[in-house]
Amino acid sequence: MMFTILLLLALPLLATGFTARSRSLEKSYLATVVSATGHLAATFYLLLTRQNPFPANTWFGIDSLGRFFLLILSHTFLAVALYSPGFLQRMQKPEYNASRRLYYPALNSYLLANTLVIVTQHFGLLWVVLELTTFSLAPVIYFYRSKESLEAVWKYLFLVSLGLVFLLIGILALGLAAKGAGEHTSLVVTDLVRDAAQLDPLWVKVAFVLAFVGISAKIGLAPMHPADIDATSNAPGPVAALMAGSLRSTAMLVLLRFYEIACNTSVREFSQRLLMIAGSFSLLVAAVYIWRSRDYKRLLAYSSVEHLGIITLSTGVGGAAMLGALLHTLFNSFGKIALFFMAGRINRDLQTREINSIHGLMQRLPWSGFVFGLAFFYIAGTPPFGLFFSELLMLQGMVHARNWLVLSIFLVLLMVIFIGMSRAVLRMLQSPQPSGTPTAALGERFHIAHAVSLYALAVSMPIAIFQPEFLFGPLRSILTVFGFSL
Amino acid sequence: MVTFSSNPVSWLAFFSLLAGAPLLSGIVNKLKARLSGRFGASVLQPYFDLVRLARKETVYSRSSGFITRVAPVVVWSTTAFTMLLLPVGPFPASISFDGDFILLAYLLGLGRFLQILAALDVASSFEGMGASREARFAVFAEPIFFFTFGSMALVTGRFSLQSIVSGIGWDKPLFPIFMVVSSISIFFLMITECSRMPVDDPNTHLELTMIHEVMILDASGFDLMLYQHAASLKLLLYAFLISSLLNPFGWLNPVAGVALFVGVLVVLVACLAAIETLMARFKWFSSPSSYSTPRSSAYLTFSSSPFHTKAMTNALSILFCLTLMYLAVTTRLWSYVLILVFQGILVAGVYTVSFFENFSATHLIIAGAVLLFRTILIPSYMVKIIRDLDMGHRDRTRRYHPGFLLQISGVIIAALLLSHQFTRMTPVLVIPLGTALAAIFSGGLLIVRRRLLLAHVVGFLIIENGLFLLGVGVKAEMPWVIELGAFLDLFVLVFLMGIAMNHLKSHFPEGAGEDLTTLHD
Repeated sequence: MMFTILLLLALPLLATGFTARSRSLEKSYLATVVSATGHLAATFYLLLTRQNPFPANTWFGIDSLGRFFLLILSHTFLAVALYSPGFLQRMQKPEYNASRRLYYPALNSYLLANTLVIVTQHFGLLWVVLELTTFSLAPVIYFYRSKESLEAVWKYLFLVSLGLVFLLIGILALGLAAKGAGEHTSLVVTDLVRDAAQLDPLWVKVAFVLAFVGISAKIGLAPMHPADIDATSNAPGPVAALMAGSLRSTAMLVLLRFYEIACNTSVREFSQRLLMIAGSFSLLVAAVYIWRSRDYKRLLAYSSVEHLGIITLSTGVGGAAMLGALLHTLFNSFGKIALFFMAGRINRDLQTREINSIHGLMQRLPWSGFVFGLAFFYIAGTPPFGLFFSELLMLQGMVHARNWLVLSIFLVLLMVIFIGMSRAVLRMLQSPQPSGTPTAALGERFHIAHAVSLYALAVSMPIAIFQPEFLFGPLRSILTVFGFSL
Repeated sequence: MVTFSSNPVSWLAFFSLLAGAPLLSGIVNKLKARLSGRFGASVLQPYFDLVRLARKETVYSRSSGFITRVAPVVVWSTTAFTMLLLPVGPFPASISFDGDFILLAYLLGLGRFLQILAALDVASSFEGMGASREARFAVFAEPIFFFTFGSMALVTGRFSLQSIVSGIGWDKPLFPIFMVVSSISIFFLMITECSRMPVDDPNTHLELTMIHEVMILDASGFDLMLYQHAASLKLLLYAFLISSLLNPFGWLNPVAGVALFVGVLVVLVACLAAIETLMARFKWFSSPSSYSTPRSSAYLTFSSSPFHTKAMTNALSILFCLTLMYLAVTTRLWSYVLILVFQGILVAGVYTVSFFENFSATHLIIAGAVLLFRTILIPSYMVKIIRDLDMGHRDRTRRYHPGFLLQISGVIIAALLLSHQFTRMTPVLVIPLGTALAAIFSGGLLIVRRRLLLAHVVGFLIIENGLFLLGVGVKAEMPWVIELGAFLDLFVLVFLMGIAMNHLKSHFPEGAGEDLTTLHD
């Protein structure tokens, strides 16, 4: 048992230390891949054995929810780690020297901080480590050392920290709610769930609203999304993939922890309704801005807002929709890996982020264009990719709950978003070059980024079709913890 | 109930005080002369002056009215009457009753009022100016007096000067500290009230520089003698107040009491002479800040009486609200930093007081960490940023604007009302909780209203302070490891923001990056 804790926490810590000291990027890369692989191995071990490696009654513990989100984290992280040398190799300008040195330490500390968030069961400590995840990525969001990326990192640090202030007030309110419940109730999740019946519902409600507002800055839900959009769109490809695919999911886990408590008290209905409203609003905002976006990285960032909105909304619906939401979190992280890797490559090769100045991507960058197009169909929820199945589960849940209003909002906005996104992406891929510009292909070769992206897109299919028990068993048990049935 | 002393020594002391007051001024003057290397006039010189004045004819200006004639008598008699309320060392005061220190303050106030009126009455522009200066000082002096004596009344639970002095329990460890801080504030009060050196210069006769002396320029003869004598009585009054407060033997052993009493007086006189020799007079515009020391020590004494937890928490919280108001009117970067330091002290104070009853090592660690992070590490880092970025002294993007003060005041009032509403749901302390909310809202307001990035960071830190107060207000105790982790987080955040600001300078060399508005859709 001890060795899984070591793999999950000590290894990233060691790797952070090592990469911070090491001057060789190759060695740092190796250390990062080792820690990522070890992390993934430990995660699979935990998933298969369904164990909690931490002693009971401590601030730490891994439940089904934790195991599932660990998988999202370590899978995304490994993909990003594998692509990193390919990315850094193209960043040879002298002004990137400092950024290159900071890259691997930041990545490893990100892994450590996120793992801590997932394994922490005490809300106070959770807040502390949640701040760490914000800090860990700050140096690499500012990778390009440009005015825009500086502004993005400033706003990100500032707004997310402000959001976390609200979260902390929410945690204090939760403490007040627990105070009435008895002497022994601490701020540990399992204790709070156990004593949920005795919690003061009013304070639980206050806590849930404040925590939701606060964490939504980190999840990237409207109206707290702008900082997230700026940061994701100005960060380099792999970092953006990490943010969109894993950081937001981890933040989602924090929201689910609050939701878990709220679901076991009388504010269940209220919190469900809140999540549904907020999710629909995010979808609406994403639908509007995806049409307006002129920058494809921002477009992808808004697609993240959309998907986190979908996840929030279906979490609120509950039942099969919540199962769909959890799966969607996993599949979304796969899609975001491919999309942001490709966006980063296109940006480096064509030196532009304007949608309108990119033409004939399929001819100029055949591999990146192809994978980018595939990833677009993936993220739009086209069969046979996984996202299609998770969205189907959500629809099933909404029908089951007879929530026709949410169902119709969901479908209409998804359609609007699909049209808006395809308008931009297909234009980039297919539109003919304006006359007079050279049409020469850039002679792109197959790269590890393409391999990783293709793998990420493909792996969702068997998961969705065969529904392996090691993954779906925990998911179903999560639903019962929340008090939902299929 | 008014009690008249049955001890004849008290009454004897009263008359000897009246007679001996000029001697104190004489000793101070003599000591001052010796310290500056002169031989100086005899210690009896004030007596000679008084006698000389009394023998001279009193001349009234034709433009003056009856006030000028009445004022000297009122000034002298009110000051003389205050001597009756004064406990002299081991002997009880001649007259004492509950709340007599209020009478003392307002007798002095009445005298000052008449003196100001008289100065205006002679219709000379010089004296009018002196009167305005005197009034300005009086405004600052009064709250100091009441904070000091009010807190002493609070601590001892007694309300007359004599019983306060006798009620000081010197065996309790906190009393000596408390009394020393109180006497420091009275000492500074003495300097300003009696127009002594760093504030006013009693020796110059240049109208533009004087405060007190300029008001009595037109007085002459017997009237001037009364004024002069009243001034020396006032000096004596404050000196005796201090020595009574610092007298642990006063009521136990008359001999030791008298000895110590005289000893304290000697030290006081020496301090006064040394200060007058070593220091130059303050610029007029920095004179009001000479009140900052007594003011802060008076607030400190008032708020540090650890015998009334709730009152103290409230007092500290109100001070916190005042810093927020100050924040609204200032545009100086240094003030921002100082506000943060002061708020850090207050927050640590509120924390310590709130958990005073069962103060443990955990509480000590957290209070220490609060002090370390909020009053030392973060402010000094911000000073470093200000210096490194060469930001100058002012928040250049913002001029002083009264509207902001109104908004902050509104926020504070609203927060207090909101906090009052909370009491219906759960037992909380209204004022600390309201202060916490006010800090959170005002920090947000600062972020929205100011464009300078440093001001945003300050706003964020104020929000964090409010958050900490909120935690204290609802008595949410986290394990100390978590609290320390939170401080570390805060520091790292400020550190990262500092780095970002440093980089901003390279992108916006001229304006230190006041506009971050490139990114939008």
